[in-house]
Amino acid sequence: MTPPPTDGTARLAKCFHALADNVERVVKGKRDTIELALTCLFAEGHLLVEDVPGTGKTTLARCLAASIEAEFARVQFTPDLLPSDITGVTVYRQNTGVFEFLPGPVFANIVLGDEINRASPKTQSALLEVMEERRVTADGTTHPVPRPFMVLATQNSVDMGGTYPLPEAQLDRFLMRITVGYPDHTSEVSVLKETGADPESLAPVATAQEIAELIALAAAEVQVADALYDYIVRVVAATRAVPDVRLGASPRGSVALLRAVRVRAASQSRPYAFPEDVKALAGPVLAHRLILTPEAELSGRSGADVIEEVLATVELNSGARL
Amino acid sequence: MSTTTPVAVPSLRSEVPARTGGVAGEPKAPEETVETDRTRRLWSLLPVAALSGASGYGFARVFPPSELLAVLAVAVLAPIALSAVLSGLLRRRPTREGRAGRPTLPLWPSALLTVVAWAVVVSATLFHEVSDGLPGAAALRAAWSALLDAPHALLTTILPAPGEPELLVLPHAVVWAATAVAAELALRTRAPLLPALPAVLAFGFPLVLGADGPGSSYPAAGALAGAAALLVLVRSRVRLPLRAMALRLPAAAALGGVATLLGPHLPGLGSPYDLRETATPPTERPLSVSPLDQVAAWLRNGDEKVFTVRTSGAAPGNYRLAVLDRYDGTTWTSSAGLTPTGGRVPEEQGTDRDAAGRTKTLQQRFTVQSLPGIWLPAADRPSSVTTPEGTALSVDQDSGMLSTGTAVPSGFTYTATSRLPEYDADRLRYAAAAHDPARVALPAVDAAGQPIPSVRSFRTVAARVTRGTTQPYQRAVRLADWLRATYRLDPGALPGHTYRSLEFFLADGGRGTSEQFAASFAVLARTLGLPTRVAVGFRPGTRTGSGTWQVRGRDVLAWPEVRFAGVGWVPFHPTPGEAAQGGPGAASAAEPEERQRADRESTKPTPPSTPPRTPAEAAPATGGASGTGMPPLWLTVPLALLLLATAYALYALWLPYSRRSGRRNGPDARHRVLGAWRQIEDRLTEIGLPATGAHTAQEIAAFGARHVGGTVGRRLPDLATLVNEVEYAGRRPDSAAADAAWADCDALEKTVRARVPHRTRLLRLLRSAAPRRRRGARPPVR
Repeated sequence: MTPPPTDGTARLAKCFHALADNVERVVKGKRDTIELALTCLFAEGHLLVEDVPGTGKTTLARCLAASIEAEFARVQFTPDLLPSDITGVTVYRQNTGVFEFLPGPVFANIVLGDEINRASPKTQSALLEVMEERRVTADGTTHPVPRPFMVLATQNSVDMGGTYPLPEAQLDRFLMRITVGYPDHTSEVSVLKETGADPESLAPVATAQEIAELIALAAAEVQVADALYDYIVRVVAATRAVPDVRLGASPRGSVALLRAVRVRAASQSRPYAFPEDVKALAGPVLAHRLILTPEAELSGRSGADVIEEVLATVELNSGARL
Repeated sequence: MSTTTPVAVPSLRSEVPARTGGVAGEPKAPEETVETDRTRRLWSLLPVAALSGASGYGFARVFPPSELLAVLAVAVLAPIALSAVLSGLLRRRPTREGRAGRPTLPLWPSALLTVVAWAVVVSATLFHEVSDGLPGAAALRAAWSALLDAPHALLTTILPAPGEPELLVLPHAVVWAATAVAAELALRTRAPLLPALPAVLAFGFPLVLGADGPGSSYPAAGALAGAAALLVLVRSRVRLPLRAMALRLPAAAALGGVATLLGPHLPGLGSPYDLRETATPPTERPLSVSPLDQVAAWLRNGDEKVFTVRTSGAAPGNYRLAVLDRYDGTTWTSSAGLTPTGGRVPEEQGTDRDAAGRTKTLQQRFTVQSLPGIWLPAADRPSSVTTPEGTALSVDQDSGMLSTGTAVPSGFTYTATSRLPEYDADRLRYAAAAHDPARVALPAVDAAGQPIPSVRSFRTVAARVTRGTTQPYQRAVRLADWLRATYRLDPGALPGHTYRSLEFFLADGGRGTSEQFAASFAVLARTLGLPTRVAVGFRPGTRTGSGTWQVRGRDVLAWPEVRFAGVGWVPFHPTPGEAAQGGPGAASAAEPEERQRADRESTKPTPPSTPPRTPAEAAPATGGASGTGMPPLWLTVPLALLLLATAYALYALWLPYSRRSGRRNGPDARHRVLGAWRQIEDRLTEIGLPATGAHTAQEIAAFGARHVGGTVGRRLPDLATLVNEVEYAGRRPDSAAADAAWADCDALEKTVRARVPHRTRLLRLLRSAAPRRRRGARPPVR
């Protein structure tokens, strides 16, 4: 008999698809991208959207924020942006005679970091602590950010002049890196017809509190078989053995992949994960964590190519292989 | 959910190439199709000719190739040209549909004209003498009669058979018929290999008739196979992958070469079936005066020129004229049965001269001057004889004696090639006497049934002379030495070799000719159990020029021969003064040094008993395993490889059935469901699913749905979900689910089996049993 969906997975799936449908009203023909972004949200991870200008990166983030009744902040990264412009600043109140911490835009449920690679490394690194530990420390005082917390950063893959590529340590903080891509013909026609569609026109379909509960449920109720743990670890380990890879995925990558796999299973009302979940998410979750050798990069190979090769090679060596 | 990220989620696209079942390329116009078809059929006549030629060349074991080739050329080319013209191929009419039209001539006129053409050609060529060069009824009757008699005549002739028209008519007819039928098949059918069938069937004739012939049938068989391959290449309507052919053809050729070399040496293969063993040869018993009775007459006319010899190489030894192996107490006679031969003299049965020791080949040209009787002299046992054309030559297969069947005319010239043995002294010294009861028999009772006292006295003498000896060869040497030392040669002694004559010679006379010496030795040796016979021949004679020798009557010589196991007949020389009379080329002087050393050592005190060495022990080691009963190394290694290959093939055939049975009869429904899925996965690899083991169930199902289709293809995604739930969600399926899974598996296997060619499945089967190597990067499932 098929294991029935649990209450938590059923609720998550319902919320997941409601959010996806809502966002898709504006972002046409990008259901897969939307679902990946939502997967990232429910896994409480951070998302890096990388693509050419005009493909809807910012719109996707804004739609996502508009669909959730939560705090949303947007930071336009520029070279002169200071770390305190993001995390906040402590000021002295003459009237009270005390120092007061003024929270920066990072203190929101969904933070859109637009063109993150245009900020200086110093400013970029200001996001490190808050992305991983979900708190800001200023003048010896720790200030937690609200939950759920998601950094949704965008960066252009062209026009790299005057930009500062994200360091590997910061890339590793992102659960996924995705591209939006150009819409297909039908979707683009639909975009032209509905020029009035605006992210602000979207009504929220979930609250931040509800999202926070569902995040906890997904982690608790989706079961993962031992064989699948084994498969995830072997896939990640295989990235470290590829000759073209200078530095493979870390155990943080394994954990991130597992979190995403659980959400994907729950989004399909499944209280158990399948290898298909791993294969579908390994690329977005792991590819940006790989550092290729200069030779491989010069030859045009990418992390995505390596992950594809690894998935085509690593056996599903479950105990049931007869 | 799929992704639009830089990582392409595997998509399932068709990658199985369309099966090539027809001609590659665009459909051709009707005229072009007809033209191509006609050209292909015309070109296929070349391999057909090669096939017939190869088949006919199999007769090279039956006839001398020099006499066979002309016959084959006619029998191959004539029917091909005839069939090409008669079939009307050059005027083939296309039908409305554009296919090749029917031949303008039906088959029966072609067949009739082919038979008529054969009759005309065979009358005008092989049997042109019967009707003065013109085809006629007489020649045709002779050809037909010869054709009917030729098989039996060939089966009762020592090969190679003489190139007589009465015998050559058989390969002529067989090859002609095979060529004509093959050409008709090539011109009238589209089957690529069918025209090879007549040549293959015709090849059976030389295989059967030439089983005992010289040479090997493998070259002709190889040529036949090669021509068949060429025929397929020419006639195949499918464009063959040249790159694959370039790799596979040398491998196939190498495999064929290895099989050709090793095939005849495989253990368990007996001698090829020889039909001539069942055919009764028209054996001719020689009716001639015993040459031993003529020894005295030759000695009396000592100056009479008997024959001249022109020899090549070293000084010749004795010439053997006749061999007498039957003794009735009165006279020595021959039990020879003469069999026609084309010139080849078979090896002595039970003796391998190459294994017995070194041999020296000697070619001598004889010119008879005055030689009574029907026998022809030759050195030792000849291996081949060349006689003038038209001479009927017969041979006694047992002794190797040559005969013309009639009195040898003066001036008759022939050439004999002999392989003279050089005996191994050690082997001779310990050789056992051969088991040959007929050559040991002595009449012990007279006509009245009373014991013959002479025999007892012969036995007493022989025992006394050979006292203290233990080995057969030692006894024979002792006897010869004793006769030579005790008695004197007297060319004028009375002839005769009856019991009484020999008893008189041994007891009282003390003088005799080589007739008495040889006969006495033979009788005494037979009382000792040694198989013995008497040879009559001549010494080398007098040298008259460079390599030329004149043999006269006084050179006549009789000598005994004793047969030893594994060695054959070994001559002994009990007649005193043979060397002095014969000069430097006399028999004993011409004995190889090895043999003389054996003789000398045999007269020494008996050495400690040494077990006689077997021929295998005495033979030089060829592979390092001789004498141990094991096959040589060069045979052991291929055999071991062959056994390994066979075991691997059996394992490969057994493995899938065992694996499937294990999967289907799993301990519970869970295992049975998963087993069905693994079976499905294995089958899908046969139609293109990469066998990496890295595919998810849904990927496999999508591949199956795309490439298998049908009901079972549509059911695969549901089955994949079930498999995932069983494997990763702990679902416990019931037996009905397991049965349904196996029903889907059976249906899928049936579909896949119908699609994959047998050859491909067999190759996959063999590969699947090989140890798995570490998998490299493979393409994703498409």
